[in-house]
Amino acid sequence: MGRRDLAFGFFFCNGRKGGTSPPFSIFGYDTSFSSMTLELFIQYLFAGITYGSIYAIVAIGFNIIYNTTGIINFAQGEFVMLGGMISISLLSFMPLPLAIILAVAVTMAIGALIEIVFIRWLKEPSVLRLVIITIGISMLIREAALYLWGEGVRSLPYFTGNAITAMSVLGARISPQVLWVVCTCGLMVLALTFFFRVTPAGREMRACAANRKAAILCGINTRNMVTLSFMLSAGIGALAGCMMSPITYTQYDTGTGLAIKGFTVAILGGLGNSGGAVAAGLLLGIIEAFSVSVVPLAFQDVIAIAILLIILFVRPNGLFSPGEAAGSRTF
Amino acid sequence: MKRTLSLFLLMTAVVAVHLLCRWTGSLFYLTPITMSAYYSLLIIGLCVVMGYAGQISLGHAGFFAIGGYLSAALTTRNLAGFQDALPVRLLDAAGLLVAGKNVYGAAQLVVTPWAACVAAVLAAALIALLIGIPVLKLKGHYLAMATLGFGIIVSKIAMAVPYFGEADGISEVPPFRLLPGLSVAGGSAHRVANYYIAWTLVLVGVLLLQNLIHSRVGRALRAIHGSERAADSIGVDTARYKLNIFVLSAVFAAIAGVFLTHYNGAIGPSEAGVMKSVRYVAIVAVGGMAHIWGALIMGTILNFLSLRGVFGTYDDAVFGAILVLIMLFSPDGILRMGIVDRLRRIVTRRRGGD
Amino acid sequence: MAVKKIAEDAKTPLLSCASAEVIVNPLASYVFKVPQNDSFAAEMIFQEMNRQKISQVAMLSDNTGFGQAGKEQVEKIAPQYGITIIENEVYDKGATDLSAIVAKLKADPKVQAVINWSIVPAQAIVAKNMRQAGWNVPLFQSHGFANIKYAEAGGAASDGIIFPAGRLLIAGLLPDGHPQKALLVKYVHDYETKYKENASTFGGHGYDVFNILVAAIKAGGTDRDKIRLAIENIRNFPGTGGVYNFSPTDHNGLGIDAFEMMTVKDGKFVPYKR
Repeated sequence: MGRRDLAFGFFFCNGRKGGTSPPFSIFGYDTSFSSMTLELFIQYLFAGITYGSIYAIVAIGFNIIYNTTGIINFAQGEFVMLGGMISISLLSFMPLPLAIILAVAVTMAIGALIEIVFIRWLKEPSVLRLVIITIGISMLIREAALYLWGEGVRSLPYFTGNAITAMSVLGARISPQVLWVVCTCGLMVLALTFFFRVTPAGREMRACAANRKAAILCGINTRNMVTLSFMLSAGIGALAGCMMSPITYTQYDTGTGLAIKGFTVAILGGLGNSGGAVAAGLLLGIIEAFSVSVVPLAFQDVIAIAILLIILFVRPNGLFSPGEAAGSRTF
Repeated sequence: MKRTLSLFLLMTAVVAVHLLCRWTGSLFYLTPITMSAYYSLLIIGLCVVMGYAGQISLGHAGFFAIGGYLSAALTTRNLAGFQDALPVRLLDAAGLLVAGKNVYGAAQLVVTPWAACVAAVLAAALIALLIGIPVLKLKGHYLAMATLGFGIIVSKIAMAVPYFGEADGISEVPPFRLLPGLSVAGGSAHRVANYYIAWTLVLVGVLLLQNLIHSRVGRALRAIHGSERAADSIGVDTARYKLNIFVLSAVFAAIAGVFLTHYNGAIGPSEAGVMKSVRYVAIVAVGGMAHIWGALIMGTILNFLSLRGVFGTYDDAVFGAILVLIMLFSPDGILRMGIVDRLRRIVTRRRGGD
Repeated sequence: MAVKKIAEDAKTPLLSCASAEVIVNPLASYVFKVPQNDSFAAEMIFQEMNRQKISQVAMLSDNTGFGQAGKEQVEKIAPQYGITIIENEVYDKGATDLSAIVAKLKADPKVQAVINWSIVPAQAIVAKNMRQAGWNVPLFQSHGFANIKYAEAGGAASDGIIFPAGRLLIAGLLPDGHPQKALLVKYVHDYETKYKENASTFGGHGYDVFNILVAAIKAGGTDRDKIRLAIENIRNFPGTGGVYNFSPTDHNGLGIDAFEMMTVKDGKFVPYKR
């Protein structure tokens, strides 16, 4: 909590209309917060929130699988890419909402297939082995996508309006698609919370996560729970992929970068802690957006990785986890 | 005895391949084999880290790139404009600089390849030391991600910094004169000599690692691999051993980078990429994580095929598939698959079971 | 660039489809290139800016070889036309959203136009982010924009982008009697019939390379040195990129007239008329 407030306070103190802080140099590049108007601030904020929510969804996908199985699925980013690509292909045959629903369903099926073919029958695999398998799977999915769809860049059409419509929010102009992304991600988080707290299937998954052997003794079919977790992660990833496609375009290799950022966010928020993932995702997104005013744009990606390394070295349990507690393995 | 026998076999195989190529008039095959040899040097270093110390490293291409890029940059970037600066004059006095003319006919002052090589390898070792201390405290997924992050940062720096040539990389790297008359260079005149230089380096590397494994250090490493806590409890300084082996493998990777860069005359940002790191891990996995010879053989074969373009545009897909298949069916590597045992079991089952 | 040295050392003629200036400057006797020079693209952009009385611009480029080569040319040539680059940013080629940097540039009221030198998808993303932010200053792109798919990717935001490109894109709109028209119309027709996708200048480069090589072999036989000499003697050779005039000192064969300034209107490429 404290660290996040500091970051915002820093910006608030300096980013005011007509502020008079003099330009100063970082790495020889001139920076100055005095040119940060409210409009610019809101613009950065919305850019940060858009990306932050996408990172958060990928991180939640990681967490769902991790909670149920202890596996980190490096192929998580590919689900996002698949959702976008499949829906774009289906678009030529059916209206947009149907294409999206079908794409999500197909990606969920792919997620289940991956689990059944590659993971299900492994007996007590070591962490190293699983890491390498999921990396290999992500490479294969990427190459398959390259083969099927080529290396071209595609996108879904904007859901409302077109490439240049923008709404005015507090002086800043943002595309309506941004609202689609943020609202959908928010709704997904709510739906997942409901699912895990209230529905029988969700509670069974939580039981698996808490103590697998006990869950088996209660008669829960843990193997199906694992498959379900893969399907769920694939589904939410695919939906996020469809939402963001008009803004960011989809290409066969958009999955890799997202997976790394998603993993950074998952660790930042505490692996397994999805509430933390949401907060951490927004934090990373906003930091990246505001970084543009301070460091050259070429280093934007390096920021996410630097944050990942710092967190891993300093506090691998994440910002929001109370230390070594394994009990935070609920949703 | 067995060890010296295998080394002797390797030497014979190397000479045999050379003679075969000469006899069939296809000496140009020696070039990809030489390049594969350098990659294999990196791979055997990685094999020891992953197999014996049990630490996964998804960023080893970063060390290769540090070695390659630093030696390339030092031997090509012109210091003539800074001739009067103190550090340059000191280097000159130490005999580490070489004057000449560049392709445009202007005066040029660059570092000698030997000095650049030493500097590059030292830098890689230092960075491995600095990175290793915090990273090796992590386990499992965290370790994988940290090494991946390191690899990505190196490749982003290579892409973003003009000193390292940005997207074009560095070309026109001069030959590396090891001894009078023996240089690491790419021309067809040097092809055979370089073939033997590369394999000598690999032989020395294998010798070093084998001695390491069969010494106290090796036993300590295997203890760590078996169970880190148990090793700790009997007094093995796990942190120090892990760090030392990590730095050693980084040195192997950097040396491979330096030599390959001088051989190719160029280096590009793809050498630092994540895909290359994953490829190295795949090869170590296929060859058997604790099996130096397996790693060496698979490394040479797979890299050779990849360099010859046998996999076509499916290069990455092939390595991904190999990774998945090996990890699913034979995580101890292809040579430990126990094919004979399995066949025997299948046959007896068919006969006996009903 | 590594390939350039290898071809030169091996005395093998190399006909390159890449557009970087450094391929033919400094000159290597065996290395030729077919696409138009970046420097000419930059000069066309600056000439247009002079006409529109624009003198202060923002420069965006991606971190690929193409983007950086273009950036270098733009920075070098700008002072000759009295143009100052007041903002200069490089982004990663895989960047998915540039609205933060666009917002930063927009906040500088002195910027009168934006030059973007990159490959897809960044070209479309920059256009979209700019128009969404309500920033309507002229957007100039490089000749890397010369494929109708890229204009489609930008959707409505692509309208009004100004960029130099080879005349292939507007083959049907050229006046009859233009030396390139017959060749271009036939190429576009054949390509689109066979591959069922829109022709672009990039495919045209490959076509030119092959035709030039064939012409050289017809003139000089298959010896490498003779091919090299034959290429250097090619004059008035119409290709998709322009009319080629090679010489011992010019291994590109094209001048600034190989480019035509174009823009996008209603999702189609049309010649740019001020």
